[in-house]
Amino acid sequence: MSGNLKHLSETIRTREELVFFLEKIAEKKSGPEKEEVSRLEKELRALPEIKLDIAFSPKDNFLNTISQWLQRELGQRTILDITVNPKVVAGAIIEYQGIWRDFSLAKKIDQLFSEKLTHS
Amino acid sequence: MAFNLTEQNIFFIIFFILAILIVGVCIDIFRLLRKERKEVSRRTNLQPQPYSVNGLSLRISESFKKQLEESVEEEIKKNIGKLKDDFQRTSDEIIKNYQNQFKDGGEEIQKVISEISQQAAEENKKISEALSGEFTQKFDEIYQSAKGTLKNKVTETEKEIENYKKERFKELDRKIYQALGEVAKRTIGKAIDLSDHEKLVMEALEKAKKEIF
Repeated sequence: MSGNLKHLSETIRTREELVFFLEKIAEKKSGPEKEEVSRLEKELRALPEIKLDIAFSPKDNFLNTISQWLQRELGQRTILDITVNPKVVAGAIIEYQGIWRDFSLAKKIDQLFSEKLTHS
Repeated sequence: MAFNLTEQNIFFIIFFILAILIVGVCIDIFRLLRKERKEVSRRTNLQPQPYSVNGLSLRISESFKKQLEESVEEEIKKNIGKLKDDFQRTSDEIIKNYQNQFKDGGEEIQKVISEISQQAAEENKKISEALSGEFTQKFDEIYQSAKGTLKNKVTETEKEIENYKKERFKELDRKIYQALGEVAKRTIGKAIDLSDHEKLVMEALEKAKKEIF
């Protein structure tokens, strides 16, 4: 892998970017190399995906932080699917392999007022 | 010639005999009446006449006649006066007696009326007490029954009102908290800076690591 491609691979954060990256490679390659790219594409499809609902638009460095943290914790690269939703208030709603958890501040506020209502 | 004595003949014979007897009795009665009438007539002729006896007139002087009349008049007056006095006295006595009797009777009547009144009052009192007691008891029963029913209804209604109030307040509280929650979410969302947002996302990932990764 050349130096340019290596740099590109390090900056890829989304599935779309990676597909784009692979398509660029496939254009330049043929024969066994093209087959290798196809294999990589299959691997890409097999990568786990994490969906995050957060309340703000993340900066690049924060996306890198998350990406590295996930690679370190899960032991493999993952695909991040991020949605910006102000109703989350803060924190995140996370979905991974069909399992969904709400770690948002909106939920905590709702719970707090619900408890107040129950005890009133 | 054979003599046939039938019932009809016997009847005629008896009837004839009886007719003869009745006629005889009637004749006898007629004779007795005639005799009696003669006797009466005779007695009437024997009564004395004022100034004549057996058809003879008696001559009386005018002075004697006058004297006799005065004497008779005086005697009559005297008798009338006496009769008047007697009548007055008798009348007074009768009136007095009647008055006394009435007085006694009045007192007796008053006494009887008083006794009757007293008895009537006592009876009335007894009846009144009996009725009053019975009425009071009945009234008390009805009152207690009505009071119990009313009390139950009031309690039931109060409970319903209380439940309704609770539900309404709960609904109101829910709306208030919902509105407060929305305000809090908007306020906090704006108040949190980027670094805190990032920190909270990382905390969420840490939690997810324990639960789902």
